[in-house]
Amino acid sequence: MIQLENVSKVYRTKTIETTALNEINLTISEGEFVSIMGPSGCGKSTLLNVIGLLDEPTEGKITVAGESVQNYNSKATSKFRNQKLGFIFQSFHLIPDLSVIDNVELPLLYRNVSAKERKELSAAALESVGLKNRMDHFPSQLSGGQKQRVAIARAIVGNPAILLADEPTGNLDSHMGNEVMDILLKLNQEQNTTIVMVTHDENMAKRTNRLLRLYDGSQVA
Amino acid sequence: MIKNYIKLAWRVLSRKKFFTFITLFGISFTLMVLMLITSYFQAEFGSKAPMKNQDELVILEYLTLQKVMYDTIAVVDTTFDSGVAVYDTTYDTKRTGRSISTSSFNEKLLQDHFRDLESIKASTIFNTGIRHDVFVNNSKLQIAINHCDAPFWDIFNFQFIEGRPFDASEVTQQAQVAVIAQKLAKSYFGKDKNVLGKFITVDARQYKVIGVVKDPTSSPDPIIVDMFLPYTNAEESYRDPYFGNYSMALLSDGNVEKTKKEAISASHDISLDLQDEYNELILKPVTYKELYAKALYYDEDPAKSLQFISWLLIGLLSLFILLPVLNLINLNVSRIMDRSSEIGVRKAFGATNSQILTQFVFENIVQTLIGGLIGFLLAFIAMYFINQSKSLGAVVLEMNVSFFLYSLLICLFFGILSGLLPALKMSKLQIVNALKTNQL
Repeated sequence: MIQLENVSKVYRTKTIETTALNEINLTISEGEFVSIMGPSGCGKSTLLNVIGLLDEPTEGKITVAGESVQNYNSKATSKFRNQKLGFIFQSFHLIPDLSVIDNVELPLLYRNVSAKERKELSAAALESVGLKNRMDHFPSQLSGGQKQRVAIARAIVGNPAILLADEPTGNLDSHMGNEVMDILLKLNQEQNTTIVMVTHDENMAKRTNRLLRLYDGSQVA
Repeated sequence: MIKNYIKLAWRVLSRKKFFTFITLFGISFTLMVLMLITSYFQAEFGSKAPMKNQDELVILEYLTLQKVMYDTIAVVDTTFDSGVAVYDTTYDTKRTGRSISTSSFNEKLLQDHFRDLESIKASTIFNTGIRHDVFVNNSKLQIAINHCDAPFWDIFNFQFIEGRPFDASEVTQQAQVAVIAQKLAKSYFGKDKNVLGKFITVDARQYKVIGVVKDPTSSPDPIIVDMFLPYTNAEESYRDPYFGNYSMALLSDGNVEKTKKEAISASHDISLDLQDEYNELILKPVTYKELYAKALYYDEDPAKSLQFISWLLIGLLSLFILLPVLNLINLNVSRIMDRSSEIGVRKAFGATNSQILTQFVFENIVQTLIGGLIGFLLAFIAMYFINQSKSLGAVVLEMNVSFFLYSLLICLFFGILSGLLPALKMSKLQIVNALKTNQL
């Protein structure tokens, strides 16, 4: 499902060159739930961003969902992200001016889906995370756990093949963190969604199929 | 998608109320002023009765006679050649002074020299609103009277509410007939609707009303009078072969510059019998717009007056538009920067650069249209009070379709310009960098 061959990412300024990823080789199969761990600044989020086409690698080859994506132009990349990928961020990144349901339907907005269908799909996604009764609320009216569940609903509403989660439980207490993790596991098991998750929490990582460890931009396990 | 853009724009505006107030105030106030200015110029220069022919008009307003004096100065240069003085005298003639008289024309002078220019379709002579007292119900009314000839009605196409203009034979026969303006009909005859055939007494003469014209809504002197009489009824205030009370309007066949040249050339045929008093005659024919500009900024060359006033107006208007636009761009940059994280999320979920650009420009257009609507209402209210107070004289500001379209265009210009630049910058933002700002 995801294949990285000798992928490196180097950030260059006039004086300093920082290697964020160093020749990463990685294969993630369809339906796998993989967690990535490592100390702060080791390149976990960079790896996730590169897989999610949010950032470009300096070198190497990336294949996602069978498509060699790194030569895509900006428009094709947008379309690919919209149809194949879903994102969950540590700090939720909900849009404060939009209601819960409007936040959830965001990916469908860029897919030419009718308003009626958008509403139906978004309501179903919210129901799957247990927040259907909150769909007309605004993000500021929700708790942290509820915000993250809305973010998950937004990530899955378009039924993407791959879900990329960057510390989805990082800003939550353990109870809420477990609730979010349960939802992700259920998605993985019932929908066969491939999930790549960056985490600092060993307990959460243990619940996934496979654990990758990074250190200074290199894969160590 | 459009519905979503509108919904989001509305939410963004209502979330930051103070920012929205500042922005809308700037837009609406600027638009109100622009609308008032547009309306003013449309009233003055719009092609409407009785000034439909204004672009083809050449006006002979004033004649200038001058006496130029020359002094001959002898300069004696003394040198010594072997102790003997040698005198070298040179003579220099200098224009040392002049006396000038400027006035409107003697009627006969105009008739004799300018009626038959090649490039004109018609010509009229008129005097511009000499004031007279008339009495109605024991109270005094001061009215402006224009004495003119019959072609006046062809060149200045007034709308007749009732009756008709006077014709050439009535002018020749010195008929005591009058065409009056609607406002005089009201003030002189009161509520009596049927004024045709009634008489108005001016300077102990009775004039029969044969027509009533709609009040003009712009301000040229010959048209904003209360009463029009055949010029043969007027008494020349002084018998001078050159000066008098009259001006002339020439209706050019399309080439006003040619008509101006012909008029100047015709003026060279006027012989000056007053060599002792004056030795030069100067005629400066002007177009209607030049006449207007000359009143605001005088230059010996009327074309330069118009040029100066035009550039001044363009400059002031550009500045007036530019300052709020720069301010808006500044406000919009900071507002959109605030939302960089939102841009990151939208792009992560599939929004293309052009969709982001469209969204922000759309928001600005919505914002500007709301500002435009408020500005439109403010302009409407301001126009009402300006018209009521008569502070612009005869000029009546009014709303109409083209005026609304101008305003709408100005609104869109504002919206697109002030939204496009910051939106263009932000739409190209790298997703990773946008998300890092973490504003959500």
